[in-house]
Amino acid sequence: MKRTLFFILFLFPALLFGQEKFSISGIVSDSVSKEAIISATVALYSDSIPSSESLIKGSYSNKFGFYSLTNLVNGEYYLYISSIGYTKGAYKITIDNADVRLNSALPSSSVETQELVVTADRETNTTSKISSVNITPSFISKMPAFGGEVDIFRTLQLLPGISSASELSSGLYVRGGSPDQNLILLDGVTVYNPSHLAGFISSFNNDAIKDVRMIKGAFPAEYGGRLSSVLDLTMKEGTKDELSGKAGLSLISSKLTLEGPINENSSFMISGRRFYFDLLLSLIDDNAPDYYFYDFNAKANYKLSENDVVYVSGYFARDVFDLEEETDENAGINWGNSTANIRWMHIVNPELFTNFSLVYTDYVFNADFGDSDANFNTASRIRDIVLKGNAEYLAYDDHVIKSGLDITWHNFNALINLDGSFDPNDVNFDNGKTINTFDISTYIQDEWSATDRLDLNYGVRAYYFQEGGYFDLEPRISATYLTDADIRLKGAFSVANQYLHLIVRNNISLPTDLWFPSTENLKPSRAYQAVLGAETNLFDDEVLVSVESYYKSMKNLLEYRDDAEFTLGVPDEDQFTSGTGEAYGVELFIHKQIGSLTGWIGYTLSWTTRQFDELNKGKEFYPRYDRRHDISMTLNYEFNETWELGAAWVYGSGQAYTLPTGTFYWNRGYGNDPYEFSDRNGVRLAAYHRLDLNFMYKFEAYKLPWQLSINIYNTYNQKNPFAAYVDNEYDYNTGESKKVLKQITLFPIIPTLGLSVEF
Amino acid sequence: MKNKMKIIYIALISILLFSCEDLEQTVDYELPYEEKLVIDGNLAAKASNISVIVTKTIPPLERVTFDKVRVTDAECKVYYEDKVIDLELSENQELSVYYSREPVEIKVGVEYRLEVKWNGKTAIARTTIPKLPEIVAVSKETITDEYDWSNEYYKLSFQNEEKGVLQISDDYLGPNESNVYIFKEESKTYDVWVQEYRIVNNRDSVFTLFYYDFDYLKYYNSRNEGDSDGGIFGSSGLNIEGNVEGDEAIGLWIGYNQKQDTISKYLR
Repeated sequence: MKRTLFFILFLFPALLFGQEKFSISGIVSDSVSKEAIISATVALYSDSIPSSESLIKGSYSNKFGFYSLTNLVNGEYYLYISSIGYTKGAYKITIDNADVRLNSALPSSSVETQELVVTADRETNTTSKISSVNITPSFISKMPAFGGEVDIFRTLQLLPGISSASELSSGLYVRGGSPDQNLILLDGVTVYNPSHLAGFISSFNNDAIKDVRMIKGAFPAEYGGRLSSVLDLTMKEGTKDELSGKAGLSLISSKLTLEGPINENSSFMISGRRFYFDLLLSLIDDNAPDYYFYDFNAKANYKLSENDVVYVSGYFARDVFDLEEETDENAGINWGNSTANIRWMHIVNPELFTNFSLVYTDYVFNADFGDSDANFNTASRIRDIVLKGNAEYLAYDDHVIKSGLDITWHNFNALINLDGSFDPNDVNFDNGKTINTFDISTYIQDEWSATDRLDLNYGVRAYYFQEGGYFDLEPRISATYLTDADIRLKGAFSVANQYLHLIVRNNISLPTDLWFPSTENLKPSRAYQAVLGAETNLFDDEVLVSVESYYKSMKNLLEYRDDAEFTLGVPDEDQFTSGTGEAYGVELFIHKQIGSLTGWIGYTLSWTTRQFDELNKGKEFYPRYDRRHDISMTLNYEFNETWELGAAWVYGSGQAYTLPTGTFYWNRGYGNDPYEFSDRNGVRLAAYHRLDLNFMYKFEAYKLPWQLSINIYNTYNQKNPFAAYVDNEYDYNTGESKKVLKQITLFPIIPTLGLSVEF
Repeated sequence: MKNKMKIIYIALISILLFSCEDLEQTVDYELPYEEKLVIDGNLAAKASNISVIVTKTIPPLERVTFDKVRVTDAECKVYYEDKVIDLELSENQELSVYYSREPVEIKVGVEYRLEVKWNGKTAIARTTIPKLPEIVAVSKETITDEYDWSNEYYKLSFQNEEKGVLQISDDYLGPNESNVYIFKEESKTYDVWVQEYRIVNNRDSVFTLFYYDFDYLKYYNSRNEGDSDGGIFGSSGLNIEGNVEGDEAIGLWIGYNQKQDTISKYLR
C-alpha cells in the first residue's frame, strides 16, 4: 500500500510528463576574492542572444551565492549571470542526461552602475524586494560621515521611510516604528542595542560588511520577531586571493581590516575599530573622564566539499566610561555586545539547499559608582542561544519554497549591589533577578512566479513564546505585477508579533535601557501592515522612480508610565503601560543609478500616532519622531579619477515636542509659577535641514592606493533644534529677567578629515 | 616631525571642539497659547463655608501677576445632594476668590460638584470628603537602619473605611509634604511609622491627621511637575495633575477631613 502511495505521489507525475528532468546549479562568486555574490541574476536562454522571447527561466543567487535552475530537459542552453559591479558571465551549457554544476566566478567591472538596488531584474521573483533596499558598503563609504567615521545607520536614514529621532541618535525609525521594532541581523544573529556612544554611532564597521539589506516593512515569512523592519547585514567572508587589508584613520577613530586565504579551502576576515575620545579629551583636560569604544568582527570559512561550507563568525563591541576624580569617588560604566555564530551550508542536491546555525548573543551593561566608604553597582544582561535551520526547495518551476525553524533560549539578568564587591569585567548574576524563557518559531513561504508578469510571495510564520504561553500565527503575502507600460505594481500584507521590547524614555535610547520580554501581564506587540506601490525605470534604466504607500496598525505597544521611577536593573512591570499605534504615509524615491553623477531624491509624507489610556489623558499623540515631511537628496559625482564628491541634504518638518502652552499662578507651589504643557509632543519644533559634503581625493603613495576624505558636517552651519525649553534670562541692562524660549543645538558645522589605504 | 603632527592634530581637534560651542540659543519662536481656567479649592469637613480660587493661564512667556491671571466674572456653583450654592467673588482680595456668602454644611461622604463657567469654558470637578481612619493602636518601636543608626518611631495602626491619602503633621505647620500614606484599599489595617512630633508642655506629642479624597494622590505625585527646566534633553513635559475634568480647565478641588490628637491617648 505504501509503495503504491509513493508511486502515485512522486513517480506518477514524472511518468506523466514522460521526459527526465535535470538541473543547472552552482555558486556565484567574485573571480578574485572568491566571496559569494548575493542576489546575482541568473537567466537561462534558448538562444545566444538574450531576449524576452528566448528566456526560459530565471533565478537569483541566495546569501551563500547558490543558485539552481531545475526541471530542464536535455539540450543546449545559454546561461547569463549578472550582478551589480561585475562583468556579466555568459556560458553555453549542454545538458546530456545529467545535472550540470556550474560555479561562476565573475570579474568585477568598473562600469558605473548603481550601488543601491531597489528592484531586481525581470527574470527574478520581485516580491521579496517590496519595500526592500540593498546597499553596498562602497556606496556607504562615499556618503558624508560625521567625524569621518562611516556609519551604515546614518546612510540608511537618508532613505525615504527611515528617519532619525534626533541628531544624537543613529537609531532607525522605520515607517513610524521605534528602533526596537527593527530586526537587526548580523550574519543571521540578532544584535541588541547596536550602537556606541549612547546611540550616536552604530556599532557596525562598514569595512567588515559585504551586504546591507533593509526591508522597511511587510517583510516575508522568513523574518520574524519584530514589528517594523529588517536590517540584514552580511559580513565579508575574507578573500581567497591573497592577504590584503584596509586601514583607516579619522579624527575620532582608527580601524584596520585584514583578510586572506588560510589554505585553498578556507579564508578569514578580521576587522577592528577603536574610537579615541579619551585621547581627545585628555588633550584638553587632564581630569576628563576616560571614554572610548571599540568593536571587533571576525569571520572564517572552510569549504569541506563542493556542497558543504562551514562559517564561523563573531562580533564583539564595548563602550567603556571611567571617571576617577581627584577625590576617591569613581564612576565606571561599560556595555556592549558579543555574538558568535557557527553556520553550516549544505547543498543536499540541486533542488534542496540548507543551512544550519548555532548562535550565541550577549548584551551586557554594568555600572559602578561610589567611593571608599560605599559603592553602588548595577548590571544587566540579555543572552540568547539559538539553534536554527533553513531550507530552500527549488524543485518546482517558478517556485522557491523556503522553510525554517528557530529555537531560542533567552536569559535576562539584572543585579544591584550595595556591598561594594564588584568587578565590572566579571559580574556574578547569581544573586540577581533572572528571567529564563524560550521561543520557537517556524515558517514556510513560497516565492512563486505565477506568470511572466505576476510574482507572488506567500507564507506563514508560527511563534510560540514560553513566558506567558503565547502562540501566534503570522500570515504574509506580497505580489508584484508588471503592466504593459513597464510599470511594476506592488502590494503586500503582513502580520508580525514582537515578544521582546526595549522601552525607552524621551525616545532617546540609552545603554541602561533593558530589553524586556512579554509576560503574562505584558502582552506581545502585534502589527498589521499593508503596502501598495508602483515603480518603473526611465531613460534606459538610468532612473528608477518608485512610489510606495503603507499603513501599519500596532497594538500592545509599551511605554513608561508618566509616574514611573527610573530604576536600574530589571524594571518593575508596573512601570509600563500599553497602548496602540498607527502609522501611514507615502514614499517617493527617484534614483539616478548610472553615470558619473548618481544619487537620489527621497520624499516621505507620513503620520504616526500613539494612544495609551494612561498617557496624555488617554488622548492620541504623536511620538517625537513623527515627521510630516521628510526629504533627502544624495549625490555622488566623480569629477575625474582623482576627485569624487559625496553630498547629502536632508530636510525634516519639525519634530513633535512637548512645550508649555501656558503658565499660571499656583498657591500650593514652592517654586516658580508652573507651566501647563501641551499635549504630549503637541508642539512642533522648527524644521530641520542640513547639508553634508564629502570630498574624496584618491592618490597613490608607496605604491598603494590612498584616499583622503574631507568631510564637512552641517556645511551651512544650520542651528537645528534638538530640544527646547523656557528659561528665565537676566537682562544686565535693565536689571530685569524675562522668560525666553531656549533651543539646544547639538552640532554646528564640523569639518573633519579621514585617511584610508588599501593594501 | 612628531611635534608638527601633534600641532596639526590639536589644531584640527580644536576646530572640531570649538565649533561645538554655543549649543544653546534664544530663539524667537512663538509658542502656542491655550487659555485654560485654573481651579484651586479645598473643602474641609465641618467647615462653615466654601471658597475656591478661580484664575486662568496666560501665555507661557509672560510673567505671572495677579492682574493677569484674575478671573472676575466667572459663574461659580457648587452642587451637592439636591442643593446648589452660588459662589461670589470676594471683593477684598488680589486674587479672584469665590466664596459662599451663606454658611454651608460640609458633610463627610457626600459628593460636592464644582462647576465654573467663564469665557465659553467650563470647569467641572467632584470631590467627596472621606471618613477619617480610626487609630486602633500606637506602639513605640526602635528601628535600626542599614547604616546602624537607631531611631525611635511610633507605630500608628489605622483601620480605614474609605480609601484616601493620609498626611500627618505637627499641629501648627500644616500638612507635611514629605509624608503621605496611601490607603488604597477600603476596610483594611495600615501601619504607619512616624517620628516624635512636637512635645506640648514637655508632656505629650501632638499631631494632626489630614485625610484627603483619593484623587489627591494624582496631585501629590505630580506636584513638582510643570517645570520647564533646561538640560540637554529638555524638560519632562509633565503637568501638575488634578481632578478637574476636560481640556478647558486644570486644577484641584479636593475634600479632606482632619483631626488633632495626641500619642499618649493610644500608646500601649
